[in-house]
Formats: sequence, C-alpha cells, structure tokens
Amino acid sequence: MDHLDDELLGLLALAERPATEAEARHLAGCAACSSTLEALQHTVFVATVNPEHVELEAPASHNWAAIHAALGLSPSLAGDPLGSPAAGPAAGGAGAAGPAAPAAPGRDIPADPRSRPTAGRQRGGRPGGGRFPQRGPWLLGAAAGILLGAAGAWAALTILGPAAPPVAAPSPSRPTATAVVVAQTALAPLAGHSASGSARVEDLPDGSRQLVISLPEEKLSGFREVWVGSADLSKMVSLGVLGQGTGSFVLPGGLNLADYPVLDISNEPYDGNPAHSAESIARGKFAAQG
Amino acid sequence: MEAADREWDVGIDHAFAAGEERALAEAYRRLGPLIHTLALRALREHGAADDVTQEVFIRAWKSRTSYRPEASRLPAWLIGITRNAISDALSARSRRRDVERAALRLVNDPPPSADRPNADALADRFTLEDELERLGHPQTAIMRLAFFEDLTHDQISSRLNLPLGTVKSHIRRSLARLRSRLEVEHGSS
Repeated sequence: MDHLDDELLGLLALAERPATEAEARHLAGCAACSSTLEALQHTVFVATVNPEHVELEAPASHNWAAIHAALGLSPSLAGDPLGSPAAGPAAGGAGAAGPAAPAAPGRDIPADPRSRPTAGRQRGGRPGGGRFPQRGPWLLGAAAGILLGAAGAWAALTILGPAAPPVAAPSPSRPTATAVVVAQTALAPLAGHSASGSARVEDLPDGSRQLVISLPEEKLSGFREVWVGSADLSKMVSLGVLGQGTGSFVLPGGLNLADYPVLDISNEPYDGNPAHSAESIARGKFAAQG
Repeated sequence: MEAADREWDVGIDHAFAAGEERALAEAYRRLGPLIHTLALRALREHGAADDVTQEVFIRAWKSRTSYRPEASRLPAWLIGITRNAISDALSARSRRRDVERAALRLVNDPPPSADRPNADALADRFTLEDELERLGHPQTAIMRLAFFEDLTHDQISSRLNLPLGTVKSHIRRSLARLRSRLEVEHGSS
C-alpha cells in the first residue's frame, strides 16, 4: 500500500473517522506515516487542551510584591492580583480562577462546568478529548477574544455567502417610534488587524437613515475612516471618521445601499490625501435590501 | 455572538503596550499561575520558580515597547519570555553542574495525555492560538470549526460554503503549519 496522503493523515489526526483496517496496517508498519500522524495528533491535542484539566500552581503573594517593588508600580496596584494573601498553592485552573473571579464581574462563569452545554458535538471521543465545556476566567479573555475574531469572520462569511441571514425588516405598517434596524453586518478584521465589530443601518423616526458602527479601537498609525463601496470596490464613498469604539454616520438620502453594500473601515494616514489609503482594517457586507 | 463584553485580549494587549500598569496586573492575574507552573515543572524548585515568575513579568514590563500587539497576543509573548527565562535559569544551573539531576527528573516526568494535559501543553495552546489567528481567511475559521466545534470537513464545507477539496487541503496545510510552529517553538528554546 502507498503511503497515506497528508490530507488523510490530517483527518485521522482530527479523529474524523477511525482508520480503516488497511490504513491501520500500513500505519503499524510505516514509521514515516505513523510519526507524522503522531505529530499531527499531538498538534490537535495541544490546540484543544481544556484549561480546566490543567493543574496549575499559583505563585505566592510575595512574587507580586517583588514585581511591584522592582518596577515601582502605582501603590493602587499593590494588592496581589491573584487575590489570595495567604496564598496556599491554588490548585488547578479552577483554583486560580476562584480568587480571581470577583475581579471580573462581567464574566459569568457557571460554577458547574457541565452546566453550560458545549457547542455542536456531532461526533464524540476524539483522542485529544479536550473540548471546551468551560474556560477558566483567567483564560477567558485570551480565548474569548480569539473566538470573537472567529465569530466576526464567521458572521461575515455567512453574510457574504448565499445563505445570507434575513435582516430585520422594517414594518412599514407600524408607526416607527424608534429607530428600526434595516440592515446589519458583522465587521471582520482584515489581514494584520484584529478588531471585530458590527454595524447596522437604522431608519430613524424623522425619515433619515443612519449607520451605526461598533468596532473596538486598535493601535493604528492613522485614523479610522468609514467607507461604503460597491461590491467590487470600484466605487467608494466616505462617510466620515470613526472615533473610539462606536460611531454614527448619516447615510445620504440619495445613496442606495444596494449599490454600496460593502462597509469598509480603513486606516488613513495623516497625509491630507482624501482617497482611500488601501489599508482596510475591517470589512462587512450588507445583505441585499428588500 | 456574545462578543460584546469579551474584548479583553485586544484591550489588555494594547493597554500593556501603551504602558498601563493595570494591564500588567491583569496579565499577572491571568497568566501568573501558568507561568509559575511552567517554571516549577522545569526547575523543580519553588525558589527558582518564584525567581523566574518575577523575572518574566519584570522583563516583560521593561521591554513592553518591543511588544507589538498586532504581531502577537500577550499570552504567547509572555510564554516566549518564560521559555527564555527558564532556559537562562537552567543554563545558570548547569554551570553549577546539577544539570544531570534536573535532566533525569524531566525525563521521568509523565508525558501529557488527554486525561492529564499539563502546563506545557496549555502553554503550547496559547502559542497555537497565536498561530491559528495568523492562518488568515478562511483557514482560521476552518480550523476553529474543526477544533472547537468538532465539525467534520464536509460539515465545515457546507457551513462555510467552500468546496470539499478546498477545506481538506486547508486543513492539511494548516495542521502542518501549526505542527511546525510547535516544533520551532521547542527547537529554539
């Protein structure tokens, strides 16, 4: 039998399916294939390590005190961030999370790891095992931030794909006392950038239309400018400068979003050139308007 | 999704780079236990592990201007510093000639397994998360679905509306890249 091809080894490492008898026989006799598979399995294992299963020993309080003193940090930060003055060894990710939890009130973590259902488990029992029933709060930021990125990208893909989710449709029959969201999109980061966000178009009671963008700030060389563009980006219209976090922009009455469905946020250098810098930070696309 | 209040990473990364002390404290809160455990596993001595833990955060803060949030997440960067600090501590120790004993102990350490992942595996996970983000579009999304949502390649293919062959080859290439990142990470430390 020929060597197993790399795609197959990848799928076996991900435990998509068990090896067939012939494949297993080959693996048993082939050092090259079995060592590749082993390395890939290790990669999958590491990528999916469940922090809950890792026992950690928190550093005792004198460590923070030493860091604090050595760096001459502000007195307001004198308390051990791990918050256990008696500092017995905090056991495990959960142990480290315990004292830390009060400091992060916004992040609710169910006490019981099993109380939060895990996402789609069509298949069980990969050897790497570690799915993510729950992340310890200390890890949450890092992991969740990355998930956020993925979620943004995923939402953008969904919207750009043919299976575009229905946008919240205005109900013309009902008098609109407040803003009505008529279109929305996720903003996915472009290469070299990390911030994900969202945008929506609202019909206001006075008949005007506004674009509301929420995109966390990142460190940039220039400022953030908001554009809408044609699907092929051959035409772009600037709507203004996006400051911190969230911004609202008036959509000119004559501007048909169907002609300018792409929302683009660029990093603009302070060079006085009114054209798009060609460096986009994030992008989204509005589904076709009804 | 439930993203709104979970922008910690970017915020902390940038706050750290900008020299905000509370970001250092937050990094310590979140990563101190992992870093301390890595040091303890490698050095087998509380005093030495404490020294490394302090050294990592002190070094990190002093060299914060060289940290680039666009290029790397703070956890991966700190873990890189940790590896260097541990290796410095080990070579200082080898100069004291007790390296043999330390090496023996390391060999006897049971390897991580699915039931018992250890701190090294968790540290590697941070490294891979960093690399995962660099894969770009649509590889990052594909690998996240494969890893964390446990989808098969044909499920991913229909979910992302990408051809089956494309998904398969992205998975192959991405896994190879993640694997070599791990090897580089360990080969160079």
